[in-house]
Amino acid sequence: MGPLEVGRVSLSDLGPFADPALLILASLAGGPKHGYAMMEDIAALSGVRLGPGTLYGALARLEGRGWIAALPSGDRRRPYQLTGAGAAILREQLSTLERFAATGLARLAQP
Amino acid sequence: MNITSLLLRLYPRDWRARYGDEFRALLEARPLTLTDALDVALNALDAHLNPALAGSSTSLSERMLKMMQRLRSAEITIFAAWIAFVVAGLHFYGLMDDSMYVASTSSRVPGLGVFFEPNMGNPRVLAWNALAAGSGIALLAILAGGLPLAYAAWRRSPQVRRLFLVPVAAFVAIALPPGIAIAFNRAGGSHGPIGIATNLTLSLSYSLLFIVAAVASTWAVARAISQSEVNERVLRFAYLPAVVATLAMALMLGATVAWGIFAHSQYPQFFDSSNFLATYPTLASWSVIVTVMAIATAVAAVGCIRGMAARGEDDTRAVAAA
Repeated sequence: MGPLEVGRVSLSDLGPFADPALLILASLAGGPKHGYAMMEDIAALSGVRLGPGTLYGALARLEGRGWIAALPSGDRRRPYQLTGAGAAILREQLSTLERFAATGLARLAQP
Repeated sequence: MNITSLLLRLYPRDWRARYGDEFRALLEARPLTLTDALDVALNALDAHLNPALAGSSTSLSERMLKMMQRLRSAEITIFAAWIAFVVAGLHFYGLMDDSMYVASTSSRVPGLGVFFEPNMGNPRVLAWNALAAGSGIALLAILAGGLPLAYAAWRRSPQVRRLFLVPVAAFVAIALPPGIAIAFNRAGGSHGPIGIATNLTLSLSYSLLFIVAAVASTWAVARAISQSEVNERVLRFAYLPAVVATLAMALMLGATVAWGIFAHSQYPQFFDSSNFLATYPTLASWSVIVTVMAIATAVAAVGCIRGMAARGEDDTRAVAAA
């Protein structure tokens, strides 16, 4: 299984949108957010400022796969929340990254 | 219209219907930079290439229906592009036939009329043979993908079946003038010398008839298929031959361009002419033919990309359903 795969489902299927998608999933893990709030949260979380087109390109793909879901909204700004499938994908991906980071740090610590 | 509205207009209608309001709210939430505008423009292009992105909120059956419509539309686009290519290619063939470019040693393929030249060391001949081979590949691919679609349309209803009379009538209209001429000659008839103006008028009229017949036939077949309930498996199968036909069109386009370059170097006295109405290929007629072929190939390539996107949507649906 590759680093971005969970079973048959894979974040890497999103191609160039895989990285923005991971950032969005991580942002929504902290609770539902609309587009602008996500951009601000991702910038604070990772230092990456997603463009509006990239954000919605990734959002549409995540929603299409059922990894996030739109919530009802009283105004034009529609919030999104993480689904169970999205949480599973995010958990698997972060665990892989954690193992990768731990291995890399351990190797750096070696004399 | 302000810049935000202009950027929104770059997206497909379906995408705007789904995300337009919230996307506009996002764009208006902060001052728009040039980088943002470029990002939006690039992703609008992506949305056009991936129309499935706008269908996330619809039900699986609706998405399935839309996917099939998009795949069918992509295949009809490729078919129409192929017809346009064939019209240009046949015109090229008509100009080449019996022209000074064809060596006396050339031979014809029985039943097809395509002539091959055995002088493979000549790059111009090689280009011509590549064009002939590409035409055969494209024809076989269109038949392989199109016949199941046409059969499904034929079974649909008597109203749809009537549409298939259009290509039959078009074929009769195209075959009738040369048929009458051949019968007249075989019967020993003689019409005396024909003036240049009359000959030109007859040639242009027949070319116009050919184009009208091709357009009418393409419209009728496309309408018949678009009105029919074609099985998803047939649609998915037809996509692969459609891609092969598009690749063959690209091969033929390349071969035609190469042929012109070699004809320019080998026969500049014939080829380097602006006489569009010459009875053999000239720079003028070749340029028009290449332009039509290039546009047709580009349209078919767009059809391939849209078909791939529709098939990708179907894969996404399968994952979501799982």
